[in-house]
Amino acid sequence: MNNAHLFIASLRTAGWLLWCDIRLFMKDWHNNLLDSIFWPLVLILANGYILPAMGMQADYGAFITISMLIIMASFTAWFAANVFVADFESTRSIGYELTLPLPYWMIFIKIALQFAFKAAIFNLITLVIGKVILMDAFSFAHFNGLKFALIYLVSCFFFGTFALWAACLAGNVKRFMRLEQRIAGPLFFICGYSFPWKTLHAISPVAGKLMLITPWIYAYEGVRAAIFEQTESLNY
Amino acid sequence: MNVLIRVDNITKLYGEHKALAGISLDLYQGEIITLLGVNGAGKTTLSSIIASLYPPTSGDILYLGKSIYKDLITFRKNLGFCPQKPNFADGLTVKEHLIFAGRYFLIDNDILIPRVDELINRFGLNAFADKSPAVLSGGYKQRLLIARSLIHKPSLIILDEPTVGLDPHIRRQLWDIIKQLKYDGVTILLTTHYIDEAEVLSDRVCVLDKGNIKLIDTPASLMTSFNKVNLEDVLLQLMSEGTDETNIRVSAHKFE
Repeated sequence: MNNAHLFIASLRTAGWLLWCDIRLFMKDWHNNLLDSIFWPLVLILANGYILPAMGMQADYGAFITISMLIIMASFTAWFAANVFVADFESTRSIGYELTLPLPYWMIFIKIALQFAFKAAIFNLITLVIGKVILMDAFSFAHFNGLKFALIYLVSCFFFGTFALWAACLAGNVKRFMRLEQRIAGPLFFICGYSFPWKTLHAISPVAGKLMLITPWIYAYEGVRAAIFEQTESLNY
Repeated sequence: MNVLIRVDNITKLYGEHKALAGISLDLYQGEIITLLGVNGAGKTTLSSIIASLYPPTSGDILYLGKSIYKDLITFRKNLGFCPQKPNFADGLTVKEHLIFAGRYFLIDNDILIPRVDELINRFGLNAFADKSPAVLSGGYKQRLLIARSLIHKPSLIILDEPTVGLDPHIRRQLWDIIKQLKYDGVTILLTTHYIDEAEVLSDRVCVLDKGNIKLIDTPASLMTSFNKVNLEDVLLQLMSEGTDETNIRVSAHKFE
């Protein structure tokens, strides 16, 4: 077989591996769906009704709905990576995949895609929860499906890749948890979860510019631009 | 016998620690070669490198004269690997594990389905075909691991401590399975702590100590040359001789 045939054969093997992962994930769909519901539910309720009663803007619930979508995707990928690290310390099921007929790098791309899929699929329920809880306060009038699909899928692939990279860097559960508590968790929240980039930039242009280094800000702002009006978000 | 695998001066460093210190070894087609040694001797590191789980720090592995790192995919198509711990996916049945294993090697359905049925029969897994591997006993989990690694009819199978922690009668059953694999022409690299297992199964044993090969020979030749009645006594004497490189005895005995 020549190189092109070997490459295509490897891609097919990677495809089967990914299909097996997706099948297993979907088999437990009800639990995975439930996992995606409770955090958005309580936080959209609190931010949509309680914080405005304390003086926050009335549309803050809608703002947080998008934040929840992104942060839930981030954390879903992160938790999938946590399982990966725990497996590395116990049964090492990756050991089987690493002896299959495909190159090392392709296995890691497959794992990143697997994390991205897990991050993307059930967390979309956040938008439904937002609409049900906030009703007219969460409008899809400016929704751009193509823009949304593009930024959401790219963001989820980034979350999957980042989580895998962090998992490989940490190497064990203890270090991975520390990485979450000290770096990843704060990054997920500070980079656009609770305030828009424009507000930060207005307060401190230097902090605003620095924020542009982090990829998360583009996920938050991009999804907001695709669902709400572009004028309030970074240009997308 | 032809050389199937040539391990050429392999070293493996973990930071400052030298897990393998320049190992060279030939695996002949159709033989059972056993890696023996105490914990930390380098057995799992060496078998994992041969299984291409990770690369060595230096040196090369040749499959039929060609570096596996130049054509990893072809090598892996001829490799079956059974890790020390069962690593099955939660949510797949025994049969689905075998079917997916076949899919990963791109085996066509008309060949794969009979092959899966054949392996399920051969390894006595019929009663568990539609059950999760989680319900299997240790011995049956090992059977499934071996069956999974054989789905694509590999020429080399690596068994990393396949009988560890199993009851004696289950170990004997697995020995029969391993002997049958050899009878089928599969080359087997076995790592084990059990010296009786090595004595019964091996065509040759390779004793590792602190990342070096201390000795390679047939069990019978070892017992004769050390004037001992069993392999355990041979190893005890070997271990008492120290580990400096002047003690290394690599026999010229080739597997016939």
